[in-house]
Amino acid sequence: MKRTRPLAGALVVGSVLALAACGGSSSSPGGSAGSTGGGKNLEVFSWWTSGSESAALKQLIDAYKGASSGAKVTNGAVAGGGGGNAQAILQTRLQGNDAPDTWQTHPGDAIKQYVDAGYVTDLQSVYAKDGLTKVMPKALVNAESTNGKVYGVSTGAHRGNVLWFNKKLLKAAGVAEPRPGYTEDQFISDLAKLKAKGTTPLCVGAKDPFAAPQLFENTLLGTVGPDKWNQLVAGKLAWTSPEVKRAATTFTRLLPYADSDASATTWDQATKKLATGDCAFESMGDWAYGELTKDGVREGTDFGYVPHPGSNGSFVMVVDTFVVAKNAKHPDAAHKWAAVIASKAAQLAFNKDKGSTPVRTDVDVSSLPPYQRQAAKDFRSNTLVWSIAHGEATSPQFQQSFYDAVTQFMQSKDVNAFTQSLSSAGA
Amino acid sequence: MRLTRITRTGGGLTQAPAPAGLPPGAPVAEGAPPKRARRQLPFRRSRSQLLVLAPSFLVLGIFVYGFIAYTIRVSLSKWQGVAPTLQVEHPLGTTFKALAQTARFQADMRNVVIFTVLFLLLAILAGLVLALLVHDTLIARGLFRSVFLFPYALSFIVTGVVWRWIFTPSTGANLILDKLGIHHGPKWITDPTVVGDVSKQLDAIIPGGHFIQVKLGIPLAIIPVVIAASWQLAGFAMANFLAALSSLDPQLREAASLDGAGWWQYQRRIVVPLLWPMMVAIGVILAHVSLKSFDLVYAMSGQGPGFATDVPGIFVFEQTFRALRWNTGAAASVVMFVLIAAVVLPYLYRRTVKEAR
Repeated sequence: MKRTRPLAGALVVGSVLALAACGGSSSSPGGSAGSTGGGKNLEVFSWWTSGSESAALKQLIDAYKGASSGAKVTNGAVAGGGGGNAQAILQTRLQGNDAPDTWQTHPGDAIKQYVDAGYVTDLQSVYAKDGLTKVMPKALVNAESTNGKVYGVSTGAHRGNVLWFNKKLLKAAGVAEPRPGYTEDQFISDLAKLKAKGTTPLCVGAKDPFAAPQLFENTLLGTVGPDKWNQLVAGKLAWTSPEVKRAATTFTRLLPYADSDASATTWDQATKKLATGDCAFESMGDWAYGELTKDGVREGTDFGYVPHPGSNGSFVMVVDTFVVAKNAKHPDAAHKWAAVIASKAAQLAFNKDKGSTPVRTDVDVSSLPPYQRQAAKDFRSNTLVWSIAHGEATSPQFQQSFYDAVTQFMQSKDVNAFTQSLSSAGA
Repeated sequence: MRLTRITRTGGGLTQAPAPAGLPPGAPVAEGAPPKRARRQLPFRRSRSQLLVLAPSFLVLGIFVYGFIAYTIRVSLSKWQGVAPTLQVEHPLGTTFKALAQTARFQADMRNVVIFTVLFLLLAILAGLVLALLVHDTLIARGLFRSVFLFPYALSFIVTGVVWRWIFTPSTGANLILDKLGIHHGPKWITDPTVVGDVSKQLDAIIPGGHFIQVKLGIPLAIIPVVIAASWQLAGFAMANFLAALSSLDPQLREAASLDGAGWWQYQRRIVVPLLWPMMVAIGVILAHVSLKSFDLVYAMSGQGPGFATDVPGIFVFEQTFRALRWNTGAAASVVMFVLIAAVVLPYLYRRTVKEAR
């Protein structure tokens, strides 16, 4: 033993050093995943890598290639984390002065931060040339603008406040199918009926950090309505006000009906459970629609949808937008890209694959499936509000604090502590 | 990537008795030559050695120590949002103070301590038992050794996803328990319960009123994560124990049995004490793997119900890259760094300074 001790010691010291070195370097994210795209390629940076997403992105790329002959595109999509990983790489590249020509982001504070930091260029010329301000909702254009200039072009709008339900389970439990105008009290009494029948009433994919905040967000909108909602996110109404407390209380009344596996279930697993009849309701954005049809269930016969209880007439927008780098390597190509993805044809083709709604209100949607036609109709007639859970309505800082507060609240159920932490969340 | 490094050094460890297996440049690579030579190391001996070492010193200096310094600097800045700023915050240390008062970070600290203690106990114990069994097995020793080492070759993400399926109450291990007649199995990673809460007692001691915002106890949801981590790393501990065991003098056993010691007595009174230095070494390596754990927890349970399985690694990632609070993320990294240093430095000090005397 005596002989080997120094040797073993040396190895341990060596490995500790090697591991420590590794730990040090792993704290700086790798920038290699996004191709730097030299030559004449337009580099498009996004986090669209899953089946429907990458198909939709390909529609945009094809439209761009069709519009400018001989153009090449480097698809710098980064997988994972609902964009979190892409965001990490993009941050590194922006700071290394190696910005992609154009990248995916959200309207609202996300764009504003890029504008304030001087990373992006305005797209006034693109909007002027095609008269885009006339065919896009004002709320959307405003959220893409700073000091009267527009900086982003949006591709499609997902709706965040949709309540999905399994028709067969509701029927078996003797619950009437929800219609638009469904209230939170009706919802809770229906959940109780389902639970009495031994059915899991409500699926939540709480393994994904956004899913529980999404449920709270929809409950909040259902309670306070769009006007108070806008005051809240603009900081004109306090998070400690009675309306928010009422929403928080309603949320705690929903929680006992949630799937007991929620914290180990991702949103797509939760949606699959709804499809296979393992739970009756799920409050989730309409990206669930693509997931449901992929799972082989049919709209109308197997599953149905209504706006989340109390939020009829409001459309929570979850929108993806492209911005163009100020120091883009190919500025002309990047502007061309922005113009192409705003065109009617590209909007329709993209949204057909993505399952969202064209943000242009003059696109003919008659070729889309029934759900998307309904969503487009609502998008054009409802009050539009921005999502907190998906980062459009507030700063990323607030968004994270919102997530953390909801996670804490789901266990503590302490309404006062919860609203207090929301009101101090901006910092 | 982290794992491949461990694998490489781990591979070296298994060959411990053979000097050829030493990585070049390891501090004791000079072997156990006369003490005077050792004392003159590392700089006096020759300039060429210094030249050879210079590139790695440079790389280490920039990419490890330089970045550590930069992280500390960022943790004292106002940097939030996409535009970098190193403007110093006033008063200094505001970020750290806010961090200490963040409920989530308090939960993270609790979790990482509990996780590390339980994980070390389980992984080392399992590794030791496996090593003793494999070492004393006469047939197919190589096969068993490989079988127990295989989990170690997996990515933490793979382990995490599969163990999440196993520990999801309604679809995993509970189905087997159900067949065995236990109808309401544990809630595993979905259990928000924290047992043995001492936060009230601590709050009474700590001045400044209500400081602790989370239950300080053992979050039950972390136990499945400990099991998964131990499953993966017990093989690593076993390989190291086997290396140490193979260097034990076979005559020890003969002498022990002549003195009338049975198998159990021999293992307990002779083998385990002789393995103690190795145990400490493995403990240090595993402890620092555990303190900076991220991938396994992220894939397996995420933050868990009410942050029951959240760890500082996840906190740093989310604060830095999601919330763009660079200063908070950096501050939490500094806290992690101090924790790891508290484990590794005393060990390195004992190994290098004390033993050189």
